[in-house]
Amino acid sequence: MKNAAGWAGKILWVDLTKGKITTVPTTDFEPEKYIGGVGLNSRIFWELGVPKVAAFHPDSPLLIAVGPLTGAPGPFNRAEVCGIAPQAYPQELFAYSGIGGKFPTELKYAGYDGVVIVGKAEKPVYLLIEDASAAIKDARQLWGLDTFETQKILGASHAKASALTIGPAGENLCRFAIILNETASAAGQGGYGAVMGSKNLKAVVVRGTGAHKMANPDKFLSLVAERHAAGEWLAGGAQTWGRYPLCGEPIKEEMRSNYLKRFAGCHGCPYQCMGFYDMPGIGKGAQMCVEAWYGLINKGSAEGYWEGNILSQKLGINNYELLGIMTFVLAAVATRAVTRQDLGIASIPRIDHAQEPNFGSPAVHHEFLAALLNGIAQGKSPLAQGVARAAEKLGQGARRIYENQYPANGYLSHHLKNVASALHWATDTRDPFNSCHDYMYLGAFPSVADHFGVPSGDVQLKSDWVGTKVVYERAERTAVWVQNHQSLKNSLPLCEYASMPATFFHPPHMDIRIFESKILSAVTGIEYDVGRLWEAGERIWNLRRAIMVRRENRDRKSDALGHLWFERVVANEQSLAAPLERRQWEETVTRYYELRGWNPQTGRPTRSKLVALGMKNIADALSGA
Amino acid sequence: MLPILYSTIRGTLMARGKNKPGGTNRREFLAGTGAALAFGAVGGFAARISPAAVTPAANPAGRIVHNSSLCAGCGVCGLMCSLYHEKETIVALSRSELVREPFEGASSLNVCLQCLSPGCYQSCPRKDSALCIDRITGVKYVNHEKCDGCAKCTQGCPMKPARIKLNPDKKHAFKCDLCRGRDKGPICIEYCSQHALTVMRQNSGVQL
Repeated sequence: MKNAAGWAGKILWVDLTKGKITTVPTTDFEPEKYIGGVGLNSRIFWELGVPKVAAFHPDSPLLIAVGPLTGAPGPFNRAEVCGIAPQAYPQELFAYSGIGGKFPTELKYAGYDGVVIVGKAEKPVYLLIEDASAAIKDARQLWGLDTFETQKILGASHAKASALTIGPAGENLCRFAIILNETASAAGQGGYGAVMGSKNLKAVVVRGTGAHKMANPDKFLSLVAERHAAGEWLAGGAQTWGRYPLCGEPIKEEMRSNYLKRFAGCHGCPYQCMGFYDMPGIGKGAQMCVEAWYGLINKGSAEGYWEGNILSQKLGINNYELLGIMTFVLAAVATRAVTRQDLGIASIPRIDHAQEPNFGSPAVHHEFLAALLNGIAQGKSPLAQGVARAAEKLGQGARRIYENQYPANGYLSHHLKNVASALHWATDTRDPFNSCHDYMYLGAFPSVADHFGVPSGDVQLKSDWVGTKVVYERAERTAVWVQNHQSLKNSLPLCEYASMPATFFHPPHMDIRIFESKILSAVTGIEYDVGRLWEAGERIWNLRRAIMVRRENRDRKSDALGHLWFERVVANEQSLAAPLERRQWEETVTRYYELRGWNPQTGRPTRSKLVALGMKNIADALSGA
Repeated sequence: MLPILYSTIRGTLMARGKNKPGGTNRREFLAGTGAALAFGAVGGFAARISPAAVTPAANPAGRIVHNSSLCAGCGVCGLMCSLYHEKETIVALSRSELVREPFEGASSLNVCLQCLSPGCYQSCPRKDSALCIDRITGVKYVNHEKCDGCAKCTQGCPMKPARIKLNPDKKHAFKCDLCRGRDKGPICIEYCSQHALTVMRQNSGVQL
């Protein structure tokens, strides 16, 4: 490990209460076992004693980590933000959120594998990292500014630096506030923007001029050349979500033909999956898949669509939770479950006979958006706590609407379409958003499914990836496979978009783990074969489970989906084909625990499993907990 | 006559294969002579040429051209450049410098123009040993072994910022040499997923 390349070798440790900054060697956290990103963050969280405090408590740590591949050319340039997530419901859970943009590579080039931030500053501050030097700076002038303005001001005084910033939403402890880098790269889910806000931390600015070193650069280049020769480096046409808005046809066409300026994306990645749009009078910015939230329900205008997008990025609001809020508000008002006064928003559009939001004139439309977004960002609306907590306050009718959209852990439904992904929803601490594509493709491509010995045919790629039948057999195998793979992707890191089965680095006939293990070996100089790599993925998932057990008393009872999913087909095009059957579901959960090597009654990782994974230290602490 | 000329030059370029920067082997020498004979009018071509003798036609390697309207600003060009030439990814050692404006959706690339009247070459105290001009392609390149890092070339470059830079650790200058000797040509072009980079073959010496 001592001479391993890839990792920068140190972690920046910042205590905002004491104003003290130190560095800690990465080797203290067994990086060869936990890789980086979510794995490294989880290991650090474990070392911190798995704090049982609330998300906004000063002792609640904010962990930011990159991985050994970060800094190399390719879709590897992501950071993972971990910590106690205020968005989770009914209780706050230790979770994660990935972020791309320019920040992750700058952090690696500055010489860090991660940043640990604990404590709370007395006044608004920002953290400035310039290679080996780091300082806590006064940010009182920046407090209250939007994310774009903050970055522009910071960019003017720190040339070429890249910043993680929060907007008014994070400052006001909105439970789904994002951390934003540039115009469209965000740690979205989890509400980590509010964790930054609770620490009086407006931004983390980093400028790195150092190197990402590889053990075997020639091998790395030849591996990349292989993928290039297979046509997977220039596969630009496949990443279309950000380039072509998800909204309906007239707006989509208008956005593409009138306002799409060019493509954009994260630093060092060939895929550049975002579109950069410029709409005079409203604003400029990039957009990826979920930022298109507004288009899903907006039947109004391109201007409204884009205004919603830009405004939410500037205020620092999670677009995906906003999609839940919009549909919740419209349904709740239409069914008279709540009133405008309850929501603290003056103007709410009428719902017409076709159950479509009717915005009337563009003025009404803009007024509603601005009122909603500002009300949320400034904490004036109960919706600032998220739909889950708002619904709890707003009565039974509102609660019912919430349950329809939110399957588990307080997160909006997304691609919950087969039993395997339902298992993942039930056993994670947030939505398994960044693995949903694995479920789609595993279900849709028999060749991929056969390769991994998992069931196929329960998802159909046609008709928008709808679940076609409910298959319980071997669903646990799919879930375990995807969870281990997700743990690796979030730790190497490797972008979800670049690692979807059947696309990019992952042609249907190929086991992507072969590529992942080869590239990790070339970069680090440590020999990872597929087995060793896979064990690392399994280890990271088990460590996260150990954290859940120790911190959140996670057990079989809390590995659950909402009751609606057992009663009817939830009205959502991304849903299961039929309601879950209780007995079969419980049997599948038992099989999942057994396959995981966990106690089938309690859902706790067994000591023998942890020891077999080289986690004796974790097992010892867990049994003592 | 023209097609013959073209095929001669092309054959010459291909024959060069994987020559090390700064080295001249017999095969290259002969091939270069052949090219010079084919041109006829260019006297003394086999010797190291002076800048004045470089005509557009004798400068077929051209230079990197960046199309800012296609560029997505990912920076893969620079990372690949540094990884190929320096064996590590370090943005500061990339031969090209990408300037991004993420809030404007704009980017530009600072890269050597391979000037016909190269200021770097003219100001080099060890020209033809440290800073050299490829006899065949007209590419200006640094022979790292012979360069002592006096930095006169960086002052001689007419562009701001200078397109030839100093490696502070290894104490030598470095610049874009169009990946001289690389079979597949410049690595930045090969890995640009947006097709924003090309080689402009006819070097007019005038910036676009």
